[in-house]
Amino acid sequence: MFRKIRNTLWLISTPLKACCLTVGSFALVLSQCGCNSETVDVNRSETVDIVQPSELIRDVPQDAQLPFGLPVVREMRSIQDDDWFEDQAAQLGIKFSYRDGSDAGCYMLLESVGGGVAVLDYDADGWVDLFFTGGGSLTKGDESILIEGRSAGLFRNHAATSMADVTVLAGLNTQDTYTHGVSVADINADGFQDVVVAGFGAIQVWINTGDGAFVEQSEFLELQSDAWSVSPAAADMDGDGFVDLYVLTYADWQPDPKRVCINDKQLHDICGPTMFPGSRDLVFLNNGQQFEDVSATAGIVEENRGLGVVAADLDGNGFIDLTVVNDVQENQLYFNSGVLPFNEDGVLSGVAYSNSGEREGSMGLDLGDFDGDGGPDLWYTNYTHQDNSLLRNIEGAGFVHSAELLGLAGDSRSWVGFGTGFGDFNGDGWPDLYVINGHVAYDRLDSPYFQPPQLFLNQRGERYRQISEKGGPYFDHDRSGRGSAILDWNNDGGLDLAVVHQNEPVALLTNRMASPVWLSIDLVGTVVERSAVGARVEVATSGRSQTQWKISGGGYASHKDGRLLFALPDDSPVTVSVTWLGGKKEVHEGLLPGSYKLIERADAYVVK
Amino acid sequence: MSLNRFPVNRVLISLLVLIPCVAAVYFNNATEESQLLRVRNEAQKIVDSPKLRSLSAERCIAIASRLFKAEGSVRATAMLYYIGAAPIVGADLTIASIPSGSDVLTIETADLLLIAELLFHTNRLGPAEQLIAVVLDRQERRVAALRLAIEIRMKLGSDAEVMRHTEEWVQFEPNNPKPFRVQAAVHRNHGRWDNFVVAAEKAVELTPPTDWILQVELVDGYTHLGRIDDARRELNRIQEARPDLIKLAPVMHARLLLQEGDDESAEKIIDRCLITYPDDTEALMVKGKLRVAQGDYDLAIALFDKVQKIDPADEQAYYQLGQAHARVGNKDQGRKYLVQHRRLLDAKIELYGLEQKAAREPQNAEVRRELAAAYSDIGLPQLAEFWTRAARATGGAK
Repeated sequence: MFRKIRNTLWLISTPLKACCLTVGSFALVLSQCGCNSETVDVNRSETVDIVQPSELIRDVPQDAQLPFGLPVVREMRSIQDDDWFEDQAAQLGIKFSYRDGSDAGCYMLLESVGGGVAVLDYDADGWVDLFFTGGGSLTKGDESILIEGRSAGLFRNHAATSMADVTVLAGLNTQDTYTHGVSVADINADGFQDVVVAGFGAIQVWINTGDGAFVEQSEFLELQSDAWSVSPAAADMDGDGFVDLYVLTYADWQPDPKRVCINDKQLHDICGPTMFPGSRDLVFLNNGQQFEDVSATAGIVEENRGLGVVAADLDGNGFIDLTVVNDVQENQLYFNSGVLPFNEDGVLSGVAYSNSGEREGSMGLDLGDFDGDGGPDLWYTNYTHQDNSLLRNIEGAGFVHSAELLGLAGDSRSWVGFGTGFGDFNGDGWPDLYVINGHVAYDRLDSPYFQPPQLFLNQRGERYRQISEKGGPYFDHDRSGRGSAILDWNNDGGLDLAVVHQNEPVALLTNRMASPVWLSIDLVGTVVERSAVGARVEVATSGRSQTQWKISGGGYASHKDGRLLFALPDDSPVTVSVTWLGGKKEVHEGLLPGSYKLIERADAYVVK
Repeated sequence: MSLNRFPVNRVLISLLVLIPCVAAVYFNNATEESQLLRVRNEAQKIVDSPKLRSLSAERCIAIASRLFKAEGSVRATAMLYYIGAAPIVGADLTIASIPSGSDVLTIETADLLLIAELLFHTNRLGPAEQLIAVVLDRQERRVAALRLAIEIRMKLGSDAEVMRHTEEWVQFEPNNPKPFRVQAAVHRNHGRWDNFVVAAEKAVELTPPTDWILQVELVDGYTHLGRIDDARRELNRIQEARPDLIKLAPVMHARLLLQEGDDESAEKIIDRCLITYPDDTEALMVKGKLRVAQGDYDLAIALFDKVQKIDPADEQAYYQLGQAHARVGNKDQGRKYLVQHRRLLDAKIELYGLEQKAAREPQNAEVRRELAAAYSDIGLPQLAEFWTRAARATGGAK
């Protein structure tokens, strides 16, 4: 920009990097300094300016203020008629907080990852229930840090009248693993949804016994790892009809009480992830009896810092592909030809870097069709000073970054984005976006620990507009958000949100904008695995088609409601096309809106 | 003893001898002082009046050289003034010897500052850096010292120190916009647009509203951050007062229009800019990205290709070329460009680390040589030359 001024007024002889200061006037020179613009690796490494064994630091730095010491003001305004959401967690009886262990003052990277929520119908009563991971605690010793787990929370939905804490009853109150993300799948294909939890040094596999209880069976199923796993995704990756697992691991990290990092305020704060090498994610194949760890031969990258994963059939070839977004590393796109290994092609597909070709610090991820063209687009959240990324699918030819030209640039650059997702919250047929923010460091200069959640309205697939002020009282307050999941907990056809925070009560945001006319599809695999992850559902109405995919992963460390909800323009019967994993397509005509449809593979569907 | 025997004559003779000597010493010192004052004045003129630079430098070194026989701080001061001014007129530097460290410490702060400034303007950054370090240790003439330190260290690539100095400067002069402008410049150089905007906003707040150029820069910052509403508000204000300036910032204006969804107007502005400045890489890049968004990958490739040819070390050009080729199915070609993008990206990240080290270690010539070699490797000769000079300046000429 400003070419004429650059060429005429301020002649600069010093090159690029240090060129922008004139001696006398101190005027800024509008030259385009070719180097170091947007040097990407600083984004998370900026968290850490110095790292030394504490004994080498002459002046022991002052500790960053922990969030426990900060005053939290939560005077909620009363709900207004045009508010989109209302937090009803406490009212319904959900009293649960994820604990990150930061109160011990250890300032460990482990504390920053946070937890997730899974939406499942564990008792198969037609009302979705909520499972929250518990996190854990840290105890600092002179030479080591003791890491302990904390119980998960399971809340049973009593026909939308209340949510009862059934954690103990369900046998989920163990404290052996510090936990993060969660996924849901019918691991043993018995018709009851099981739960897989990722954690530090362990994976938990909670098998649903069908009588209201869960039994941990990771050892029996040989689904074990001592890596730092953060989030699982469950899908049939080898096409044998059994659900397999992809587990994100974050970093090759161990606690060290002597490691001290200094933030941009010269305060002792959490060491950023770039201090540690990444680690290889995990791939477990299910043979119907047990799981086999095939990570070394599955074609996945040797090391990354994965925080977001989505399993879906991206290229429509009938097999599960995987998108993995990483913290300060290239993102991956694993294409599946039906026979492992995967073919990793993230760079060429356009998902590896930002729109300027830089590595991003990415966390939450989702898949949806924002522009109504029938192709699966990707959306993921990023660290501060980076815009969140919207990737438009170019049919058969990868993705194009589109956030800037669609009004999504700028609004999130101050925040660290975690939980996120596409969801047609106002029932106009176009998927809106929400982002749950919160910093990973406790007291930085450039961005606060508590941050506001955000809501973006999709304007007919052409632009997005931030409308957080319409989100309701929850959106008025800053929090440290992490996992989140879309659901319809009260079966009213409106998409609600469950949100997990660091050390603060979870939220259940009930949608107040539900479309009066809707259709929800619940797919059940018969030939394919029961959750039917990888299926594509297209609903054709008189005006246009809407497309959604059955995915695993997404949100951030969470598992959303498996039912696909479509808002419809009127109450005319609609045609629903289901393309199952493997490629078989079924068309169901004349479905009447206003209820949940259970569609089983093999041309059968049942109205519940 | 009788008065008769008092050697009056001898005393008178002694006095006649001594008085002139004392007077000579007295006047000599006075002369030295006045000569040093003249040296200072001429040196100041070198800095203040570029047109008289050579003449003042001639006078400065002529007077300074007369003081080489003086002692102590006068001699040391004169020597340094001579060293500072001699290269301007190509005078023989060998006749002056560099004062010892302890002698330098006897030189007045005002002289050290002026000599450091002479050294800085004659591109001898290493010695200038050494002198400014001495001055900064003294806590005298603080603002002047900070200002000069900022200039020297900015040239040496010591951005962290520059930022520290600006923060201190703000403590002394909270209403002076200049330190904020410096901060903005540093952030801008690093592409840290979020920080740039914070500093530029502060500078605008403290600057008379007639400084429209600064305000245009701020709008540019807003557009880099996607702060559409702020950018539009300010741009409209500038447009009303100085429409000529907006015309001089076509890429910024186009970027804002694109963010607002007005692709057509944006493209018109970019096209006009490219007619006048066909090699404007920023305009070419913006237009290329717009073409990608419109699905016209072939034209996008042509535009990115031009950027890559103009600036072969621009990793973003390779990235965009690789992506555009991939979108039209030229996967092999795309892969080639993306490999090059990755190579440059990694090299620049490594360079960033080295630059941080250079900033932390202003006397480390080795790291500056490494930077020069690395920049040369990736095809950035200007920066290679810059770091070569910086290495020389820090005493590591090779």
